Amino acid sequence: MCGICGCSEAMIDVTQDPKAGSAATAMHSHSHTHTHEHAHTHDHEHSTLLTVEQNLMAYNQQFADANRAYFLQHHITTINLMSSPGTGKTSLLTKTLHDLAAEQLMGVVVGDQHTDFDAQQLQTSGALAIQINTGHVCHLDAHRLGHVIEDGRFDNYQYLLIENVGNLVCPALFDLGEQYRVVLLSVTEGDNKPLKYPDMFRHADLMLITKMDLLPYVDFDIEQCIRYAQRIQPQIKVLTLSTKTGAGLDTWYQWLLQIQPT
Amino acid sequence: MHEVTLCKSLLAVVLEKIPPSAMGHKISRIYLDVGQLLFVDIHALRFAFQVVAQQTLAEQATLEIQEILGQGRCSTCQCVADFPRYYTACPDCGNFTLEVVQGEELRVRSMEMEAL
Repeated sequence: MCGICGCSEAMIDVTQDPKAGSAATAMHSHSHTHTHEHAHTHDHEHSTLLTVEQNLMAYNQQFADANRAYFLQHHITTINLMSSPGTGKTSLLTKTLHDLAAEQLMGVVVGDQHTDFDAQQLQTSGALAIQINTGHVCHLDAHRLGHVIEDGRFDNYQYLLIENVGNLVCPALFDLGEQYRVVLLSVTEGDNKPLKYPDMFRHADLMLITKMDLLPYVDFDIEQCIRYAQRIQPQIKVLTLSTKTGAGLDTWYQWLLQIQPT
Repeated sequence: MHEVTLCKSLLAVVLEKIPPSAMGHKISRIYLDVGQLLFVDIHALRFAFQVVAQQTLAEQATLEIQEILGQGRCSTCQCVADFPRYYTACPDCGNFTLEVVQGEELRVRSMEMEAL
């Protein structure tokens, strides 16, 4: 049984891969004590000072690093898709899987607090779609993702698309081990969101502006939205699309195909 | 910020650092750097840590938190400026081209242990 989250799934031993490094070792031996490379101690009265020098997110990071090593080893292009609830992640991914499945082996992991509505919808494309239910937790984390991939079911896949829990705040904080981060924002959400939620946009590789078919009915300034996003992440790429009409989907598919390692 | 999540992580980090030679000792103080740009709620962090650390060797630890002020270097005019928020413009040239020099830290620097 996993001593961290209590699940009973066995762990894949990624430590056989020399590239996986010590982060993967940490994943399997939670009670293992490590020696200190830089420890220095001095006794001051009755207290001892120990150097730590570790990031607070080290706990999630070690699992993210192990996931990343696994994806690299198996040449799987991994994308973490994030947005508010209802922006259109599931619809876009379902359409993407329908259209590209013949050429590319793509799998999906989708996170929601409750229900498997999304996995069911994604599965209509014929693709492998795994649902994670997080309960009261509002984001996916690297440990949970690690459990889904550990049995090797995605070993031969070219793409793993991760649909994060609908939330424009918390998922940004949790590295899952992905190669790319894509943030979706629909025209009904307001063009100032990149400034209001800077953590989400700061590390995004691509911003997808969705529901472009609704643009005539809302006050959304695309150029302004792009300018705001570029203040937070100057290198951010931006594409606009409508899953409903198909407009702009070709540019999204182009981006997807060109990020694949040759 | 997920203060409770941060504290669970903080607890894992410090408990793992307790050396085998520290039998009969508890963690009395933990020194942290927290960057201004992350907008961590320090009160919530302290409260969450008290809850999360119960019944561990860190349950009586005091958190000594140093706030690291945000600072950026402008890639347009090279000046160094205060950078309190991610969308701060360069005070000299007005461009939004400040790159973070400091202010994103979330680091446990060191900890003190004392006899139980």
